[in-house]
Amino acid sequence: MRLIGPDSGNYWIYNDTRITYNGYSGGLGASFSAHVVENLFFFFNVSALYQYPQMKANNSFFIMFIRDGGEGFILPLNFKDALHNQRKNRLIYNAVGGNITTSFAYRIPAAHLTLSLGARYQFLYFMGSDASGFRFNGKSDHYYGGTFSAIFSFELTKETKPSEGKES
Amino acid sequence: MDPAPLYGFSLGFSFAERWNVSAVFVTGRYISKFSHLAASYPAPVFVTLMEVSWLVTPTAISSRQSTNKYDLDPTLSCAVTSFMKVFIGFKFQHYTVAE
Repeated sequence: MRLIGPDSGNYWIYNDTRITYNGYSGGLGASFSAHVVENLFFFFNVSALYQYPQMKANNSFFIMFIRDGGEGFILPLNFKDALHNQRKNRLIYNAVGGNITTSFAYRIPAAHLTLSLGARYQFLYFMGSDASGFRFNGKSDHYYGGTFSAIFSFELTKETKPSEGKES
Repeated sequence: MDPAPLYGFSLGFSFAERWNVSAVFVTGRYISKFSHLAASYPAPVFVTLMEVSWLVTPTAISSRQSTNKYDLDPTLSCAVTSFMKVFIGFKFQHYTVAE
């Protein structure tokens, strides 16, 4: 929600945009690990995924005029094709892609802790178009960054009872 | 879109020696700033209809968008060898964008 004013003049454009995106994905992959030195491990994951995204866009635009005397009025700009996506729009398309993650993990056995530092890259390639003709074909999403995690681990094992046998 | 930190938690459970179920959840907020020309809006039409004397010219609009991201990755993995696992998973991504 915002008001946009020009450099000069007495009008303002009011915009209220709400976009909701839900992506449902299924994927499969493989993870490889290597023991580097004592308590230090290297991990490499690679996976492929298919995503079924749904996006709802709701844009509303208004223009507000204010005269020098202070009086003014507001008019909606919700006319078809006056602005891009200024109506409720539900977009459904498809995406395929993959993930690559790599990390070094250091175990601290005394604290039951594993510290991990690495990087991740995800690629999504979109296919299809929405009902209004907005084409997603060929568009892609690149998502990357560094990762850090601290994992605390413990075992839930059945405790063995001390021997009940008697010395003979 | 500007870089932003994502943070969250993970939960895992190993069983039957070689199987593992885990889930990772991260969330964060991205901020993006961009600008475009407001040449397509019909302000001059209104100006004419309402007999407003001053001129309305297309102007560069700067915009700020905030995007909230929620990402959930549950996976089921199986150790094939001592150094290799295969896994299958489901990913749910939810974004809310406000401008």
